[in-house]
Amino acid sequence: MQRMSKAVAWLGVACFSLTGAMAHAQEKENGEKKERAPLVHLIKDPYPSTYTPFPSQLTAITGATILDGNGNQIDGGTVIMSGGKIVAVGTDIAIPEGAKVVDGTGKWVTPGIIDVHSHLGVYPAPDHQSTADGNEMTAPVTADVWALHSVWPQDTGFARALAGGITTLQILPGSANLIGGRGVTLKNVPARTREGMRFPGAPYSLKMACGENPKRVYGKKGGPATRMANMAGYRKAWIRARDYKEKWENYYADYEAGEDPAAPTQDLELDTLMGVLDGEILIHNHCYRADEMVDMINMAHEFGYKITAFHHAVESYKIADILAKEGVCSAMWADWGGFKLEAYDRINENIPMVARAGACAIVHSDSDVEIQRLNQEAAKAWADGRKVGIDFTEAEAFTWLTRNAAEALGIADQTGTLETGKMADVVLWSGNPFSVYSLAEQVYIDGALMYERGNEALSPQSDFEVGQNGKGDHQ
Amino acid sequence: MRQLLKTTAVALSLSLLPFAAGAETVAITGGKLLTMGKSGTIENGTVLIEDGKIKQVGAEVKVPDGARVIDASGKVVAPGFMESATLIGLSEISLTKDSNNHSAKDAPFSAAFDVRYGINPDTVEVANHRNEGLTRTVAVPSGSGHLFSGGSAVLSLSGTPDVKKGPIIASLSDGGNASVAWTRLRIILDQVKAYAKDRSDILNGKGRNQFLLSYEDMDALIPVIRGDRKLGLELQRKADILQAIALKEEYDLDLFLIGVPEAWKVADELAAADMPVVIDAQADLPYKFTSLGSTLHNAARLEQAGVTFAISSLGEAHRAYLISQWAGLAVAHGLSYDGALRAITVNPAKIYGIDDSYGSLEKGMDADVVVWDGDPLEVTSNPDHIFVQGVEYPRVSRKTMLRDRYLKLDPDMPHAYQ
Repeated sequence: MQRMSKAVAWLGVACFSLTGAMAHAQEKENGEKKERAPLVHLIKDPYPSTYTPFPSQLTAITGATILDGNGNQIDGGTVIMSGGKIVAVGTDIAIPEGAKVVDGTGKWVTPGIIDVHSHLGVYPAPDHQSTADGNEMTAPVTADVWALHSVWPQDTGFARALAGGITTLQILPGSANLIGGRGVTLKNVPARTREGMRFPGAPYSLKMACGENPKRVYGKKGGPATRMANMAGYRKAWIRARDYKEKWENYYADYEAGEDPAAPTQDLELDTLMGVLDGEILIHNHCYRADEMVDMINMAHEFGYKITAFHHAVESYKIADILAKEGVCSAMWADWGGFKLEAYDRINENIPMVARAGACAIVHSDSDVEIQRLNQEAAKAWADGRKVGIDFTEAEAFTWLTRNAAEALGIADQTGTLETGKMADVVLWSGNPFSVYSLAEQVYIDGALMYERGNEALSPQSDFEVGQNGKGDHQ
Repeated sequence: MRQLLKTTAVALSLSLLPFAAGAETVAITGGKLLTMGKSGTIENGTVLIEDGKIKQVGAEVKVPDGARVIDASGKVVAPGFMESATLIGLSEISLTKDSNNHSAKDAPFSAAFDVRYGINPDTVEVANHRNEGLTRTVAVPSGSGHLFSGGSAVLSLSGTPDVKKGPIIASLSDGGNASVAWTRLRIILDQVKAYAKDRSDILNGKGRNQFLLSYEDMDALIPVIRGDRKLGLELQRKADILQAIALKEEYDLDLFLIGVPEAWKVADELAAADMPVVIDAQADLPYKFTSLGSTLHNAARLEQAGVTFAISSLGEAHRAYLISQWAGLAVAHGLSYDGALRAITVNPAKIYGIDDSYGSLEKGMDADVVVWDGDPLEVTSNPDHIFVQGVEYPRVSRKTMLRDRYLKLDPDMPHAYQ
């Protein structure tokens, strides 16, 4: 198996591999080894995205204050969207003929906000036993489950998040398990199917969890009951994954050598873990405490994989230098904490302190409520940092919501900043998005206007709410 | 009770001690005063604090000799905010059993349960919340599983909290399905009336002795049926709000409602019944069939109809201070700015019966005064000075102390020596 350095390319690899298999089959027909079985390749994405951008029109937003998501502020700027892409950002930009012009004077424009930690769809509203599909609390390692298959596209939370400027979000399984299963990245568009929301080409992720949750859930049913058993549980899983990967590598090597090996039996759990070892699946690790984050980093070194981001990460400020050195992101709340002992040491300045150390800082929600105003969460953290002399600009702080989040999801080449050639995922705010009074007025996804405040026609409504509430009434 | 709490209140750790205890005279000058009283907003005003009370407020206040002067130019001065339904003082860490004292679940009583006995004035959440501009809270009992949750307590977030007996709280969702809960509530109220009338005989074994509640729980409800003690009823849907209005009128209760995401649907009826409500201003998801009408416009629509409402977190222990953000959010969704401030100052003061001493910057009121570095409803604003009942508290908490340990990591010695 070819090892890919860029996880985002992995879908492409799968296609390439199939082509390779066909070549082998032809060789089989023409060559002397006719008895050889065709080379077996795992189908890595059996449920691919069917999302296609919605119709858009050439649009120019003019005269706005632009935060480009890359750390820059442009006053009186223009953003031009064409064919679903950003085609120009800056000042003194000619408005193309035929463009719909949106007057952004007094308003602000940012990239669409990306939430790297959401349970929308898997823990939807309405919140009933019958809709709660987010946490496979039946075994400490459930790397075989995929959040994709629990996502309910009719969750009423998606539209609320859209009204808050969320254009992309990662749906993770819950955190009861040491290894909980795969996460999936979605475009925040209304759809009838799960696949219709999948962000095309976004890599899968793997949710892991440190600390109290696995202890609490499994302590009285066979373990792990302690942090040391947590650690043992992860390591045992990675050892199995290492063996599985070796089996497949041996199989390919033997096949290449002209032998006729039997392909290993596919194992859903180990497929996922092998994907991590191959650098194709990104680790998103629920971990609160500084000491445990370092445990996880040490283990990643032991088995040769990379941790993309710690989530919740309330103690990242204690080890911000280590996280910077290791190149691991921290996805954090502005001010949640206290609800359990491992969240007791939260401080309001966690996010700016991590960013100040040069580590990758991300604001996440883990909530169907906070996801609706992640901009305000960033604003609180930014202001609290400033109060103790950590003086980021608003433009720099906005990278915590977009660019850094896109990087952690492996989609930074496509979204997360307002740069020419990127997806036109754009929010027009009524004012400074660091103000509690500002609201998203328009939200574009791939250049298509998917939400407009006050416009009933552009207020998506879940099937569940039809006949229950007026469209957009909740917003 | 106030006396009891005063004597049991334990000393604060040294670092959290206020700047000066007691009777300091302080003049806060030059700020924009959001008085929430008859004077409205005063652009360049002075608040004079003496003996724990506000002595004077206005544009032209003479600062007495010897007063400590705080220059609030360019800043905003407001009453400390009040959170109408929290677990502050009753819960340190939600998932840690030994730090939770808010529920009578598994106990043999309901209405008689009184959270005042379990309040921990030393919880780190007092300073955490005071630092964000909160100076008053209501500690509410959480569900007991028995319709009545118990007695709440109104307290100040000071080093030695002033703890007052609060309303009895009941939760409709703890009473069974709505039909059962309303039946049960009416039967209980009728029984308490009968019990109150013949209490002595009943206790002497001479009268009826079968009741839905214990004598102790009914004792706690006697002031409620007489209209002498408020009853806060937690419920959600429109149909139940209308039932509550009927109940209030039929039994002549001093009733207010908590939760009520669908209140806007019957805002006129609530206003006509003079029924105050405590709402979560950020509830906009239809979690249950009882809350399908949740909307961010709830507050604005209640204001328009003239309902008295408070904005609350409805039971937060750790982020209850965010009521100012949620009040701002309600403004973004149509509530007036003044209405938003009222919802976290004078309205909760009225609902919980402490408006004679708290809620506005006016002569004679307790000096709960916060100087903000900007608009207090903005998420980017922070307090610069915090007074609770005339005592200034430094903006120090366990959270800020932890932060300071790590802001400057000393490479030579471990942080634990800092």
